[in-house]
Amino acid sequence: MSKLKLATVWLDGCSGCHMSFLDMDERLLELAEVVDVVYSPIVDTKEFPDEVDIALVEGAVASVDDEKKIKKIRDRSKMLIAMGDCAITGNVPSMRNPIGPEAILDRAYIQNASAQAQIPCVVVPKLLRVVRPIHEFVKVDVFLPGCPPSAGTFHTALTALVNGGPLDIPALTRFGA
Amino acid sequence: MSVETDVKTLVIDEQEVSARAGQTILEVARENEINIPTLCHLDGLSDVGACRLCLVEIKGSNKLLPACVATVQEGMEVSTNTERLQKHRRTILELLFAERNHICSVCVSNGHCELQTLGQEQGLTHIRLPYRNPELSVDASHERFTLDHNRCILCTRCVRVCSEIEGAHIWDVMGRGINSLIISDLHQDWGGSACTRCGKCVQVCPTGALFDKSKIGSDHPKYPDFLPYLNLMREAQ
Amino acid sequence: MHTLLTRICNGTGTMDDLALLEDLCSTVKETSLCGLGQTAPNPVLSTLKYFRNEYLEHIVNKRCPAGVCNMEAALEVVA
Repeated sequence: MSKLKLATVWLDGCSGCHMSFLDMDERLLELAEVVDVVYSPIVDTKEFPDEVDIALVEGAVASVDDEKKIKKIRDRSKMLIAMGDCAITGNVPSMRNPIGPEAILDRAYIQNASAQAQIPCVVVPKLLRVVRPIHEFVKVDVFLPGCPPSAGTFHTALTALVNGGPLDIPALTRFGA
Repeated sequence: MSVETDVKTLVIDEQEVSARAGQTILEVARENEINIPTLCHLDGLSDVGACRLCLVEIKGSNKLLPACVATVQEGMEVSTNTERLQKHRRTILELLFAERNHICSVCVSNGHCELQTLGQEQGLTHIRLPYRNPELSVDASHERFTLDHNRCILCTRCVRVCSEIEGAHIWDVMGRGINSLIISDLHQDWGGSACTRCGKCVQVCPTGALFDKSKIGSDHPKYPDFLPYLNLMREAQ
Repeated sequence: MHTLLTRICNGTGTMDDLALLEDLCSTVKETSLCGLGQTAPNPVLSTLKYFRNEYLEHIVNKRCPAGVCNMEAALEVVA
């Protein structure tokens, strides 16, 4: 059997889900026997590959760039997994939604700036008005809630998905877990 | 036994049970270890049938009845966990999550929250509805407690405990529909209200909307179990 | 419900939105305490029953057969 192609993506989140993923420790070796990590913040590939079997997406959609990325990822992946609360509920990044991006940028880059107060507008992507979970943009196949989902959750869920076994997610994890 | 009791027999989830007349379906179900999810109900407080999570199906009726306020009838056949009910319960919970800003990961009640637990029990892994993200305030004017409207689900347990048990009636509900808001006194700051600082509302709040300022992180379990005991002691007097 | 309908009307709705709209209508109708809640979803349910093809037209072909809806948002997505 050829190995499955696994990609992990980091949108607007804290990378905690990736840390928890790495927390699988020696179980990662077990996983590496059946999957190849083809794209991830922890590997060197710069461009999302054309055909991916499983894409794990961490983080919410907060900018125009995130929106483009998530659509590209959906087009190129067979199975898309929303990993962690940010991807599923918006979580902490979405706390700015009631206030709006202008107020947030003003507080961060003007009011609290000690020197050269200016809102960055070159190179950085424009923020969306509201931060939204990824399933509001694309179809998501599996939801793994948790902040972050534990290493055990990752291991059980990925093992079940790779082998096509049964998977009872609410028994493993919950929002904020 | 000299006192004659009116006994009703009925069927809940294919289990034959007997009950006293006037008991609610919920009471009888719990006595027989049949779990019906609830949110606005709390042992020791009056019932309002507001959260709609305890809805059950009655054979022969198309209408769903809230188990916390519906009383038992002779020969009733009740189903508490059909596919239809599960679907409605999930949608109701999704509506609650989407209505205000519930961010479990940063909430004082993370791990002790009845809304969060119910979401998990009912198998919610995501909220299909678009989030409303309303702009709501936090009232931290009280010296001991805080009210965070972002986490409030308007179950009115705090209103009832303050009025029925403490007898102070500091809390009430203002506005209607999605604009409803829990207020203290006549919409004054909690700190400046006639609050007796007993803290019962904090203990009965199912989410992190009412919390104790002295607790940090998510170390905030709540203990509403004192209510039935308190009522029993008062009745005995 | 309003958000979902708006999304369908301006052409950015999906088939999932349609299913969700139906779910939501049935929950509100069946679980409401008062008569208002029990009947409020009826107009939406009636149109879903008798004019389903118009909903589908909005979602699939991004077109409003009655010429009432402004579908500019949908055209932007296509362009």
